[in-house]
Amino acid sequence: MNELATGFPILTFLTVLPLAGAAIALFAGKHARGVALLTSLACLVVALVVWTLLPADGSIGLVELHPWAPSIGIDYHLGVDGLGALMLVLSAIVTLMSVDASHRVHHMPGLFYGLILILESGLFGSFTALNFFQWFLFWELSLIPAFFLIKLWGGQRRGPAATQFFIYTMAGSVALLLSFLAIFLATGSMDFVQLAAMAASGTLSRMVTAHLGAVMPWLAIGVLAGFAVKVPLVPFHTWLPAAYAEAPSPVTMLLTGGMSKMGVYGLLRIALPIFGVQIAAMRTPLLVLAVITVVMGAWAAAAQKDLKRVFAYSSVNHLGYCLLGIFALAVPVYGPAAQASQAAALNGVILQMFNHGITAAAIFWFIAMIQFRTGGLRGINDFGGLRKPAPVLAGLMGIVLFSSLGLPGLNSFVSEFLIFRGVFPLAWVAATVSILGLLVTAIVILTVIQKVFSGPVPEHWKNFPDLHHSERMALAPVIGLMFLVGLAPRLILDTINPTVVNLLAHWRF
Amino acid sequence: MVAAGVFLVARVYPLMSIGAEPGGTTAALTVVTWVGAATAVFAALIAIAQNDIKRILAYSTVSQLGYMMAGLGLGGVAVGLFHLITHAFFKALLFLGAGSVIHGCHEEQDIRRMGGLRADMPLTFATYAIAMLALCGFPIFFSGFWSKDAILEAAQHWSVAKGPFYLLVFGALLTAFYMMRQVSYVFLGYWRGRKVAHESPAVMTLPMTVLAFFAMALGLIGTPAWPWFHAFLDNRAAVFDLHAFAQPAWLMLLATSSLVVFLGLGLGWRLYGNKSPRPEEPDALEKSTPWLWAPLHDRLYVDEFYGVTVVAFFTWWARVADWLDRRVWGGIVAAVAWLFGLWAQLNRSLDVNWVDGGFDKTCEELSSGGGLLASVQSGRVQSYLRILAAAVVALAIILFWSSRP
Repeated sequence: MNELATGFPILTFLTVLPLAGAAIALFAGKHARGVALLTSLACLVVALVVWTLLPADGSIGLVELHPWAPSIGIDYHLGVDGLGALMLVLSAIVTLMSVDASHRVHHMPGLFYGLILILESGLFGSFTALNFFQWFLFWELSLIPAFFLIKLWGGQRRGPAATQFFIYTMAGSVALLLSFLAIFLATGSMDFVQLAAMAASGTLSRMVTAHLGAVMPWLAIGVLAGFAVKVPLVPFHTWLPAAYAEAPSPVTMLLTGGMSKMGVYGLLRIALPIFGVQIAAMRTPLLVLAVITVVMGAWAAAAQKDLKRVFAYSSVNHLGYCLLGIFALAVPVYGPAAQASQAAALNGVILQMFNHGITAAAIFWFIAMIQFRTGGLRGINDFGGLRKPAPVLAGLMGIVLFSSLGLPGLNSFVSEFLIFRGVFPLAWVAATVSILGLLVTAIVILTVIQKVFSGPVPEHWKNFPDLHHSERMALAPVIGLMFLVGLAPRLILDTINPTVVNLLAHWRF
Repeated sequence: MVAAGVFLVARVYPLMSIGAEPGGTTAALTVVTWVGAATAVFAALIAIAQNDIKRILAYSTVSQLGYMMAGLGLGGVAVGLFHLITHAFFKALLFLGAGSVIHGCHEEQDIRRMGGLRADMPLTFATYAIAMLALCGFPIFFSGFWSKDAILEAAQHWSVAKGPFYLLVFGALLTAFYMMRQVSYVFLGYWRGRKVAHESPAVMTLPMTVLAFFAMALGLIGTPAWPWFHAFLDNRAAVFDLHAFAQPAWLMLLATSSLVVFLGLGLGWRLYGNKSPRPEEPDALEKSTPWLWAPLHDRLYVDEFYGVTVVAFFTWWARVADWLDRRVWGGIVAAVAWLFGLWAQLNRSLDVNWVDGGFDKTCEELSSGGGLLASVQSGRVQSYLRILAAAVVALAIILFWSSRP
């Protein structure tokens, strides 16, 4: 274990930092944005430090373990491996982007930035917690600021969207909570690491069955329900288009860039290690749902007329690839070839989480810029020929859109390729049908580019303002990151792969 | 770029030919052959009836890619790739020539509004003519002849069927025909455009001259007498042997393909040569055989076919996905919410009418009963005394009554 980890509780520090920033921002009035920028920048630095301090063997490091309420199985238990640390970096980047994108917020800025920072703290907390109680606390904590951010700063139909978002996610959480209460009843533990070890040795299933009867599959379904809503998995996704469309664009960036990853992360950190056998038993129906998520998500995007709804569905489609990879690898494998496929799929899933977070957040950032320039317009047919008056906007957004499309050389290609490389040998039918999703996504995104950026320029957009200097400077690092990950994915994969190997060695299907 | 597909087939040729006996073929290669031969004729037919100078060349390219595919399927990598390379030069030259013509004619692309350019653009005409003859497979002097002949030769000796051979020969006839038509419209006859055309500058004509040289000379590396290209791909030295030209089979093929080329050029000349129809006038083929012209001019309805199948399915299915979301999944969520509301209403009415209601009833009775009693306790001493007196009387009567024996 690292010396710094024993000496300095860096994960606790990272989680508390945005809360402190939020407390200051609340009372900082018009300086709230500055406070939020500084705080999120500091968080990014700390998250990058965490990334460099990971144990080389891919195990969980930087552990902080203190008894909290031991009699009811609650410890203060933090730790990250490559997966958790990458999510910390992603959350920090997306929050920074979101804060930067919200410089048009003039309505109660103190509260707005305070809530964004609380949401960041919730993300950090849930990506580092290793005890169910504590994890659930942060899982719910992140929901509250998100609800108010949609409810108070959202679009015209923000009320129903916020309520639906909140209640839907809560319903999933309740199922999750019930499952874990049952687990606690049977085992007396809420610790993810302990439970995973018990599941791998088979004792978990025996203890649960002895105490409660043959309920393990139901507990697995409860846990899956919680994550299925969050990711989302079709048909538990109907809250998403409304929430993404009605939330102010900076908040949509956080929803898609950060919060949707909580679901995928939960599947990897909680569902697969503890319920691996049960998920493997339900693999075929789950794969069917994942394929539907990929394919119908893409096709539903093709039918949308609102840019934010297009990319909301596109998010469903892109996270569908993560679900496809996760469910495909949940199968007992024998031999090095199949193990390599599993590892490729899992590497792809984790990298896809990161890539989708960056790319989707960037897309909504561009939509925010377009909305600002047009007084809130975001219909796919409201524009045309924008590349003539705003060539830089068109060019840079084009890069980001091509990243979303999966163009080689940009980030998403690597992760989607890895997922398909891994999934094809493990579940070739699912992989083959899902390829349709790639095709349809390409059509959707090219249609957007065509309708917004090419063709004749309408008279009233002749003077559409291009990106100004500070916007270009803010976007440059994000687009640079897309190229960097696309051209040198080893920068991330070299740290992720040990974790992948380590996880796969401990999972049992 | 389009050659990438041909190259890919050449690359995976070892996979496709697995299991083939010497001189035999495989199912995969048979498919490649038939698809290639059909493409060659199909695209050539469409090219006949187009009026855009570059569109004709585009369909011609599709047709020639069909030849390359058929060459791969019939004769192997060397045959297919040889045509790929010769075609690359003369088709690049044709497109450069077309660009030069378009530039010279002030961005006009319709061949009906050209004509007589051989005088205005002599260098473009000369190089274009070379490339056109190479594409047609004009014997001996042009590279296209050698590469196309190799494909036809392989087709003639194919053991499976003779169909591809006839298709490819017919395609060669069509190629000569549509190229003659195009050249007649563009370079022969008299000028029908608006502004006067001019020759392009050297920066355009010079590359065309270089390409023209290769369009002729490149055939040298793949003749039957010195099949250097074939040998190079097989990684062996090429043998120079002039006797190959004296083979009766080859001479026969030479005669056949020459005949086909001259027939195609002749037909084209007969219909279009030096005619210079006015732009508004129907095409010569349209006049003679309108039933043939219409479908060819409309590109055999391939786009329309995709429109009503793939594109229609795509948009329909997108609407289905959206409908599923809004109506089915959204409907289920709405139904659950509605049931929750209903349940809440039920609870409320139970509360109001039964739980609260019972409680309220008891309270009401208590308070009304209290009211009744309260009205008695009026504080008037006279009425108290009156009640007391009445009570004493009543009590006395009761005592008296009950004490009776």
